[in-house]
Amino acid sequence: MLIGEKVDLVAADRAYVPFYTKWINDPEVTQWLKVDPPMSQEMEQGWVDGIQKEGRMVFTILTKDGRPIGNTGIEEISWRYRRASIGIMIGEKDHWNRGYGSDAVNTLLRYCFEELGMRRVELITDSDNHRAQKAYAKCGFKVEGVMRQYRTKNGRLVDDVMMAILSTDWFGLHPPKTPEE
Amino acid sequence: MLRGELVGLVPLQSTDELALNRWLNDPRVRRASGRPSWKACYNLEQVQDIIRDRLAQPSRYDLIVTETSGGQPLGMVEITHLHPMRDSAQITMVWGEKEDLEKEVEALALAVTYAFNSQGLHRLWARVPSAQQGMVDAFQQVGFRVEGVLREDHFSGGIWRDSLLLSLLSAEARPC
Repeated sequence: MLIGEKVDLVAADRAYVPFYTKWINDPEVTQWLKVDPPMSQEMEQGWVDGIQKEGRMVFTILTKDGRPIGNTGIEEISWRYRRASIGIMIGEKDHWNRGYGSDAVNTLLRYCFEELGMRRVELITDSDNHRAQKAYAKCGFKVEGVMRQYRTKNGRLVDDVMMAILSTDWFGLHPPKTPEE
Repeated sequence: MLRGELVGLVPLQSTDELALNRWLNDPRVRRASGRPSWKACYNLEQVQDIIRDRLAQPSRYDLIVTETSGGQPLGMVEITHLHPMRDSAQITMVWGEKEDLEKEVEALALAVTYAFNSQGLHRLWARVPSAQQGMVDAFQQVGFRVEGVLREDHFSGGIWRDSLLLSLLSAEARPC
């Protein structure tokens, strides 16, 4: 388990599949994501079962009282170049805009940089999702480029933004603690 | 076979093992690739496994670039990250033999035409090490535009280096 200030991250599990299915089929939740609903419960179970095989790490975001509110994860991991991509979805809408997503991202970044020794973490987000970009920037991400017509949304081709944070950016914001601290 | 004046493209097959083995073990090719998945060296059996694995993946096409006159294999174009619900994909070129910009450009142009006209894709994107100016030139001559700079995304020659994010939309592609 990865411990954050407002949330904990636990390994994705079949026990949470009813939540995953609800979230992935909610157009409001997935409006900014590169996902392809509708998804059945069986499809979501298959997704959970396939996580290990595909070399990804997927975590369910739990509030401190144990309520599952979304998923986050690390994929496209390159151990040689110490880089990876991350993604996040807050499925419970009553937890939007309350700092849970930012805390989950920071918790995941801490794991990436301070435990896995990653050098670079990147993500792709919808160019119109200014709120998310602002939140990622607050976590230390910088915009590196605009991916033109990267995906189709509501029958329209939309741009995505590539953002990344380097370990030097992270440790600039979160200096390593000395043993006395 | 997709045939151009100087080069053609044929699907990867098991008989390409010797060429692939030579390229994967060539320090120059390895440096130019900026590829995290490549190991320090490969034996023939491992190369055979790579080919088998690639042929089994529906989310990619691997095309061997061959010389039109003589059929010698020169390199490989990979179209990856294909997904039935999306119409964009990543394109990578590994040039295994002596650099030849004209042939590289034609190989890329053939692959782009194949991706847009036969596979119905609308966007191709590439992640090319910034230091590999020859490869960047080849992509840009085909019409790819720089979309961004990926900071320190790979390690080569003792330092962390940037890559360029390049893309081409079907509406921008020149006919080949």
